[in-house]
Amino acid sequence: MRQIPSILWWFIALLISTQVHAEELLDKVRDSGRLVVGVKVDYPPWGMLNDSGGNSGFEADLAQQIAEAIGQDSDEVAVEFKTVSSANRFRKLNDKDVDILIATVGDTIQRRHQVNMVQPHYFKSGVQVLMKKNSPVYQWSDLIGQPVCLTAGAYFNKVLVQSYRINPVIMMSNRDAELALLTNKCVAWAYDSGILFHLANQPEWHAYQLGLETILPVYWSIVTRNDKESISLNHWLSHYLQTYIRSGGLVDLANKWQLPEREYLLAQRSKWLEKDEQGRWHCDVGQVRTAENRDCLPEPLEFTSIQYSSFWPFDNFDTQRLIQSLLNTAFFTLFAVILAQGLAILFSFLTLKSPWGLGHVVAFVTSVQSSIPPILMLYLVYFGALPYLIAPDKTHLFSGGAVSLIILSLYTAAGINNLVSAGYPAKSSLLNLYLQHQVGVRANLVNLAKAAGIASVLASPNAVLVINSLVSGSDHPLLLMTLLALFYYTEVMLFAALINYVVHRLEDYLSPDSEDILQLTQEDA
Amino acid sequence: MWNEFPFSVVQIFLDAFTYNLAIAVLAMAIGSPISFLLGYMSTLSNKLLIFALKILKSLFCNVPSFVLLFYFTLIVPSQLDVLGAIWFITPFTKAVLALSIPVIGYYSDVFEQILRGKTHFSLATFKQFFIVILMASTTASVIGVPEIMATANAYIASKGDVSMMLKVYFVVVLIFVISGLCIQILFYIFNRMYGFTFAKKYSWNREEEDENSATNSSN
Repeated sequence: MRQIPSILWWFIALLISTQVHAEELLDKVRDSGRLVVGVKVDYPPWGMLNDSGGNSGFEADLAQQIAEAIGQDSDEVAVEFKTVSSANRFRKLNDKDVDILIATVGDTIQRRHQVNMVQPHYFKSGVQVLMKKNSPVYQWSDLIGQPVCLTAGAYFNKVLVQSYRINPVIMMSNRDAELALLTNKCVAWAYDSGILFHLANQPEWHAYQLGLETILPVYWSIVTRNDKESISLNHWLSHYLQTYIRSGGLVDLANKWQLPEREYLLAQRSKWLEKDEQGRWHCDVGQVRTAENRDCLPEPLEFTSIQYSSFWPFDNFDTQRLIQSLLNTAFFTLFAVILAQGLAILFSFLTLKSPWGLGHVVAFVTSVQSSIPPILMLYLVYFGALPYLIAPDKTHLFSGGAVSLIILSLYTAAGINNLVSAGYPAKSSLLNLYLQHQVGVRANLVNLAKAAGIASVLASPNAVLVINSLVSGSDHPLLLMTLLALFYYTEVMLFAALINYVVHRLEDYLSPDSEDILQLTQEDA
Repeated sequence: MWNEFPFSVVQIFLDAFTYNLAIAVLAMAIGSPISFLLGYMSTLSNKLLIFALKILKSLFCNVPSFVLLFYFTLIVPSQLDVLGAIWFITPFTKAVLALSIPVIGYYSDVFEQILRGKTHFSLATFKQFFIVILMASTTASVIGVPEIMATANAYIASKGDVSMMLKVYFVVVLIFVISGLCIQILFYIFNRMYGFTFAKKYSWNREEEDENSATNSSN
C-alpha cells in the first residue's frame, strides 16, 4: 500500500512531462533548425524528383516556404524531405518519422480518425475522365452504361457505379488502365484529376484529353499528427496558410507549376480576402463555424458508407458485389476446367492421331505455350493481339473474363497434352493414355483452379479483384484477405475432390483393360 | 514491321528479367530448407505436431500464390522496427515470400517421402519447379515489382502507342522461351557432369515422374 503514492507521483510526473513534451514540436523544429516533411516523388508536378535527384514540385516548394517562414521567427530552418507513398504516409507520420505531410492527402472523414488535417486546404482535386479527343462524350450522363476504365481500390469507384451508372472495367493498376484505354477496352478512364491532368499533358498522350467537369471534389490538406505535441504546429500552419492564401502566394505557386483547378485557388483567395461591414474577415481560421462562413473551411466528404455499428462491415451494394464475385470465381473455374479438359483431348488427338506430321506441329506449339507465363499470355492476347484482330470500336465486346477463360484453359490443355503425348506407345488408345497419366492430368486441372485468380488482371470480376477493391475502403483488411485466402483454399479443395470423383466414376464406367494400362506403365518405367 | 522497334529497350527488359530470376532463385532458396525442416518434422512420432503440419502443408499447397501476393502486400507492413533498426519490406521481398510458400507446400511432402524412403530426389522435378516459379514471378508485376512484365507494360503505357504492344510482348515471350531452353540445357549439362556422383550420394532419381506435372502452373 505504501507504494501507491509513489506510483501516483510517477503517473503525475509522466503526465506533466508528456504535457511539456506535447507543446514542443514547433519549438523543437525551431531549436533544431530542421523540419522533416513527408512528400511524394511519384505525383508530378506536385511531388517528384528533379534531374539531380532532389525533391521538387508544388508541394516541395510549399514545404520550403513553410520552413522559411518558421525560420523567420528564430534561426534558419531547413527542410529535410522524406519520401512517402499513399500506403505508408500516415504510418510514417504517426511513427514520428516525419513532422508533417504535404503529400497529396485528401481530407476525408475516415482519415480524420487517423491524423489531423490542417485547414484551410491548399488544393482541390476530384474525379475526371481521360478519353480520346474525338469522343462523343460531353457530360457525365453520356457515360451511363458505357464501359469506363477504373483503377481497383479508388475510393470513388463505388459512387461512379452507383450514382453515375457507368459500366465499370476495373483494372488492377493505373498502368493496366492506361493499356486498357489505349486498346479501346473502355471509352474513358475515370480517375483522380491530378494524375490524369499530368498524363494528358504528356506528348505521348496528345490524342487524349480531359473532357468533363471535375466531380466529387476532395480538398487537400497539410497533415500533422493527432497528438498534443503537434497542436502548436497545427495552429501555426493554419495561420500561415491563411496569410499565404490572402497574399496570393498559393496562386503564384500553382501558376509556377501550371496546376489544374487554379480557378478554385483564385476563388478561395477572393473568399479569404472578403470583409464584412465591420471590417472583419469573412473567413478566418480562428472564427466559429457558422452558416455564413461554412464555405471557407469545407467539410470533408465521405464516400464510403461503412456501418461501424454493424457486425458486417459492408453495405448492400458491396455485399452483393462480394457474393457475385465468389460465384463468378466458382463458375469461371468450373467452365475453365471443362473447357481445358475438352481442349486437352482435342490436342492429344491431333498430336497422336493426325497424319502428315500435324501432330508434331501441335506438340511443338503446346510445348512452347507451356514455357510462356500465363499472365504474359493474357496481356499478349487481350492488349496485344485483339486490337489487330477486331475493329477498334468492337474490342470492348471481348471481356477480360472471356479472354482469360480461353487462355487459362489453353494453357492447362497444353500442359496436359505435353504430359500425355510424351513418349507414348504407338498402339495405346487415347483413353488408356489419359488413365495412365490420370495423376498428372488431375494435378494440371487442380492447378488451373489455383491459377483462375489471375483472370483479375483483365478486369474479370472475380474474388481477387473485388476483395482487393473492398480492402482499400475497409477497416478490416486482415479479415478480408484471410477470407479471400480461405475461399480459394476451400474452392481448390472442392475442385480437387470433384475432379477426383469424376475421374474415378469415368474409370469405373469405362472399365478399360487393366492389363493394358499395367503394360503401358511398365513400358513407361 | 520491326524497322521502328527500339531494340535498345531489350536491354531494359533483360535487366528487369534479373528480378524474375532473383525472385525464383530466392523463393527456391528460402522454400527448400524450410520444406526440408517441415518434411523432417512430419516423420516424427508426435501426433499433434503431425496434425498441425498436415493442415499447414495443405494450406501452403492449396492457397494460390497469386492470392498470397496480395495477402503479403496488404497485410505485411512495408517497414518493421526491430530493436531500433528499420527493416524495409519491399514488394520484391513480399513476392519472394509469397512464391516460397508453394515451394514449401510441394517440397515438404517430397522431403517427407524421401526421408521415409518412399521416393528419391528428382533433379528433373526440381528443374521443372524452378521454371514454374520463374514463370509465376511475372505475377509480381501486380504488386509493383519492376520485373519484366511490369517493365514491358510500363514501357507500352509510357509510349501511348498501341502498335508497339505486340512487338514488346513478343520480345518478352522470346526472353522466356530462350531462358527456359537455357535452363533445360544447364540442367542437362549438370546432369551429364555430376549426375552419377550426385545420384549415388543422394539416391537421385533421374526419371521424370508423372507427378512432376503437378508442379506445372502451381501458382
